[in-house]
Amino acid sequence: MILPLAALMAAAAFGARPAAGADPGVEELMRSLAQVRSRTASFVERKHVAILNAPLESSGTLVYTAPGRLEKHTVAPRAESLVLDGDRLTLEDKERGEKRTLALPEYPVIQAFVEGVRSTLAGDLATLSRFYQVALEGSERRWRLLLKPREQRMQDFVQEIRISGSLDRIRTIEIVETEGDRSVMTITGNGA
Amino acid sequence: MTRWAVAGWLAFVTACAVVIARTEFTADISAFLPRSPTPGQRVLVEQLRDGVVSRLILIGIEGAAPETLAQSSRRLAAELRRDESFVSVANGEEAGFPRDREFVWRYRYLLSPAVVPGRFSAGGLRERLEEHLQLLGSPAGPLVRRSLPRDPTGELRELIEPLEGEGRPATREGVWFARDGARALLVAQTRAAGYDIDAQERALAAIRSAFARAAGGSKAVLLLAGPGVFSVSARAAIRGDALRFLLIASALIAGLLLALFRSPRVVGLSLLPVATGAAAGVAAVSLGFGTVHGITLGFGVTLIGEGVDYAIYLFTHSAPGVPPRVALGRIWPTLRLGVLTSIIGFSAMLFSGFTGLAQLGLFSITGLVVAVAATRWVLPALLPQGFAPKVVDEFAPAAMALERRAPRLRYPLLAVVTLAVALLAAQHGPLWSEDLASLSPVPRSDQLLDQRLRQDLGAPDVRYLVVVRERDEEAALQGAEAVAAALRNAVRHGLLDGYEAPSTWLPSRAAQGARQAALPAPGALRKNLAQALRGLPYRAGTFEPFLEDVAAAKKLPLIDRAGLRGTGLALKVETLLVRRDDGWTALLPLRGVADAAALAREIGAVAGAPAVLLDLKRESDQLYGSYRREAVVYSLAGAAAIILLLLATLRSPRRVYDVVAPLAAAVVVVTGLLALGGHTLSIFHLVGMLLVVAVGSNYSLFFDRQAFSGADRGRTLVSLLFAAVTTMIGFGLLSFSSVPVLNAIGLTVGLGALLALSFSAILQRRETDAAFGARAWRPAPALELTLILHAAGALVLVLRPALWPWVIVAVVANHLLLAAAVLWPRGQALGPNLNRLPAPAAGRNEVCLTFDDGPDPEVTPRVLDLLDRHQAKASFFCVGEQAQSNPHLVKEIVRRGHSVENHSQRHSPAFAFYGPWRLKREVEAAQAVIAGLTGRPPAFFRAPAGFRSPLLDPVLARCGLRYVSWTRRGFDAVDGDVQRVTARLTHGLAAGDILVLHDRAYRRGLAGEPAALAVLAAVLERIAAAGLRCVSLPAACGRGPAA
Repeated sequence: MILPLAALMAAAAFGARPAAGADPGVEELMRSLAQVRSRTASFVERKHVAILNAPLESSGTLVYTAPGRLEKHTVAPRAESLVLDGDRLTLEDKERGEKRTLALPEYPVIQAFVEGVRSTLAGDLATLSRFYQVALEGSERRWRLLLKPREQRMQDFVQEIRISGSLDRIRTIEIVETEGDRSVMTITGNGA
Repeated sequence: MTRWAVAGWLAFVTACAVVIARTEFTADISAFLPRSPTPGQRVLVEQLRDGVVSRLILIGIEGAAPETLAQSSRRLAAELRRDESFVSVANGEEAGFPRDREFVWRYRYLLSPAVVPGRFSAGGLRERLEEHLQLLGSPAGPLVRRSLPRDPTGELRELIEPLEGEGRPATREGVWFARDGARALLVAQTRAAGYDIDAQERALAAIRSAFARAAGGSKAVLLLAGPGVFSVSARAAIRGDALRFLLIASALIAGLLLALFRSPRVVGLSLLPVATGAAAGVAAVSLGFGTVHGITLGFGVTLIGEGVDYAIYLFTHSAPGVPPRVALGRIWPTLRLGVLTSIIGFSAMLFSGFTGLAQLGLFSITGLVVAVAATRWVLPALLPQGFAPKVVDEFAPAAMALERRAPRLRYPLLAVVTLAVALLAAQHGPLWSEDLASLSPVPRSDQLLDQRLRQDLGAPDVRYLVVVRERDEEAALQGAEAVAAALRNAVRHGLLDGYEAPSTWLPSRAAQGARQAALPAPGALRKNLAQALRGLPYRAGTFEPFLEDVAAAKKLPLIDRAGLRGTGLALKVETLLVRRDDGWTALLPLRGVADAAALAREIGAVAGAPAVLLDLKRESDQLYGSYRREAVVYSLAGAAAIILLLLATLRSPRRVYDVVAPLAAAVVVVTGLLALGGHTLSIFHLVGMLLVVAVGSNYSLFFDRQAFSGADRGRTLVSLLFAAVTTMIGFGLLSFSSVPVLNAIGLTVGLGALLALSFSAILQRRETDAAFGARAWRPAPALELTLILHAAGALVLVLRPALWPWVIVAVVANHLLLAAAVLWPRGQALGPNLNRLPAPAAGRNEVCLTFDDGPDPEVTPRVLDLLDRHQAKASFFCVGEQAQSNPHLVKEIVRRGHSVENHSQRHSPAFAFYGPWRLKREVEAAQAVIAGLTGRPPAFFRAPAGFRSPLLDPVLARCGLRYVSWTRRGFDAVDGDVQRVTARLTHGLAAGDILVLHDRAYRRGLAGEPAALAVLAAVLERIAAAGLRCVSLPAACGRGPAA
């Protein structure tokens, strides 16, 4: 649907790319995240958009299976799902019965978005570093990962992605967009 | 006379040079278009010539780290975008199309097919706003949120969506990359059409020099592919290879000739016929067709193969005491027949509906005629006085020794031919290339690179195309819009992935006007929007920009071609909307067609638009298929014409077989070897085969030619050897070329010429048939072919048992033909058969009466008396058992000066069905009986009723017997009417006739007299009246009457 716009709307100048400094804390966190084989959890997502006078809220379940599969099933306000498997992203609008599959490498901005979450879950620091400068703050029990996009066209949409959690569990994913828009996903649940 | 010939030649060459200087050379694929193309074929060729696809240059950069490659890609693209010869350069950077983006954004309300009246009502707006609200909440939210205030109805999306499909290139470091990250990718579109090779060459040079700067000092390597690249490299390769191989081959051949003839002047002269011929060929094609195709020219190289031979034949046949003029007189009949054979072989191509083939035909024929004419009339005049190369006599003994030994290889050769036939019959894959690409002069490696880059780019070749033809531009655009609407629907139903249409960027004026009219006036829109926003969480004032843009769009001037200028879309429209003599054509290329048949139905149902779905692949396959079929048919027609020519000239089916068999064997074995080497055959191989026949027919005709003397024979052999070596050099070199055309011809002809020469030597017939006594048996043509067929059939059954029905059909057909040969007593198919007396006997006014089935105590003595009365001698074909019962009669026949010959031991009606051992017993028993009685074994044999078994010939050869049938027979054994039988026997009576009667009382007259006697009396009188003399067979055939 709207996703192809990514190609048309993103701008082009190329940002310089600083060398990735390997933070030992990040590596350790990634190692522990990489141990997780699969997990199921509920989420609530709130989006604050400048042109709207109220935040948008949605909720549903997340299913992660190591190393590359991530499913996001939204139940409210409408049934939708998003399945990421390897290089392929499948979007399904269950109420309209529409389905669409994208090859991620063809959509760099979307790829950067999804890798921010998936690579973190998989503990795949190499891929994560291809798209973001990675920084870590807090302690093992209460950490926060800060991801800053490397590429200009991603920077046009996202300032920073902040992922917080405890041990090998992710608690919130906050996406700080440009022009004051922002979304926060809170993850609760006890999947194995 | 001599001076006149040379002067005429000079004038001719000058005229050719003038014509050639004015000739236009093309490499245009349309030479391969039939003279009366279908609309589909016309579109195909137009696309290949200057369609959008023909203007694409695919660029890959590899061999360095991804960051370096990406940087090179960006620098290269930036530089090329400043270059006027490129319409667009895409590498995944958005910077490539700022003007296009501006244009689409500005005109989105005139461009979007979704702009219809209801869309801007309160309800329509509400629907869009709700949909966008949902999108804002989805992961795609960040992407829509910026354009939303100006475009809440999502027109941009409507425009872009059909253009996006799966299979776009992957992006890395901000630019396009192959999936594996090994190559950065770019696509450049040239302003010049694909057929404009000079412009394409300049564009490629620009890319290369820009890359050299962009890559800096890095190790990155540039890869280029695409139609333009192909045209340029093909032209360069053909030019380069043809020229290089021509030079190398000329140098080698000149060196060889210099070593042989030891005279630079003679070497120069040897190249004169071929050079004159090639010049004349080009001039003739230029005059006949207006232009000369590059591929035709490529054949110029190949003419050297036969043209040089002519000079060699002349030079080597000259000797001390045999000046060139005399030598020429000796070889001229053979040479002339060889040239005629070649001309007939090629002339079939003249009638081809394809310009390319017709050009080849004209070129070859003119070239050969002129080359042989130069050899005939110009060369002898220019040769040094007393020219007599010594080298010939040095080589002659060795050549003759080789020739003597060659026939030993006959059976191994038959085995090889059998294998080749079996291999070709059992061939698994297609023997013939099914693809127009096989005509492409592009090396295989380049074709593979192109495929790889296309895969990387996700830009498969355009295969399906919808074509709309209309009288004017507006109508064509409206037609395209109607088709596009149907396609949009078809995309939704999954019939295809996407399409392009000229009306996407240049809608018809009618459509643009309707869209402008569908936009509400500012006041009304503001009211509708307010109503639609009620209850939705959008912040107030958000959509003010939308109201401004719609108001502006209502007043925009309509888009026309001028308005598109300066954008990449202009060229897109230009290539998709083409002006023709008879109107305008809109083209809609399709992507990812899943169900072509359903799609064709949908498009056929579009009302008011004369639209056709075109499958370019099928069109091109059909085009190539008809091209190939035509080439095959014309080659076969040429082969048939050659056989007819030889039959008319040589006047002996047997000699024709001897001339044709080595050529056929060479063609079959070469084809088998090519198939074994994994080559699929193209038209070029076929033309190569024609050349093999053209060159090889000279060899086999020279072998067939009666030599004037032993020395003359030696010279012939040496000339053939030299000719074959030069041909091998010329064509063998070509087989190293990477250009498919040159490679195919080189391989086929180089190999074919060598085989044709050796096969001619191996399969030649020794003049032993006329001699008496036991002879070496050589299977007759029909038997030879039968043996090959049976052995090949057995092999096919082993290789591919599934083909058994075909093998059975072939074997049965073969046996039916054999049966026909058995039932045709006067035929030569089953072995040598004397059905007339030899020419010397006819010259002496001799005829021969033969009597079958005797001796008989009642009839034979009276026959002998009748013969004596007319002083006639005859031959009696006696049955062994009859002879045993009437020994005195046999002795009496001989005593009266007649000959007794062999008519089998028992005269069984089943004789023709006997196996080899019974045949042998029958023949040998009668032979022994007769020899015992007469003291001389018979020299001739005739089968009972004239039906001879296919297996009889080897038995006769062993016994030293010659088979005799007859010129005419009277059927006196079955017809009692004396007048009728006599009329049959004497109708058209001429010297050399062999007549059959029977000395048995099969039929009797009214008085009980044996009818044969009355017939004989009448026949003898006619013979006497005609001034002819009756002699026995041995007397007529040069062996005196038995003493």
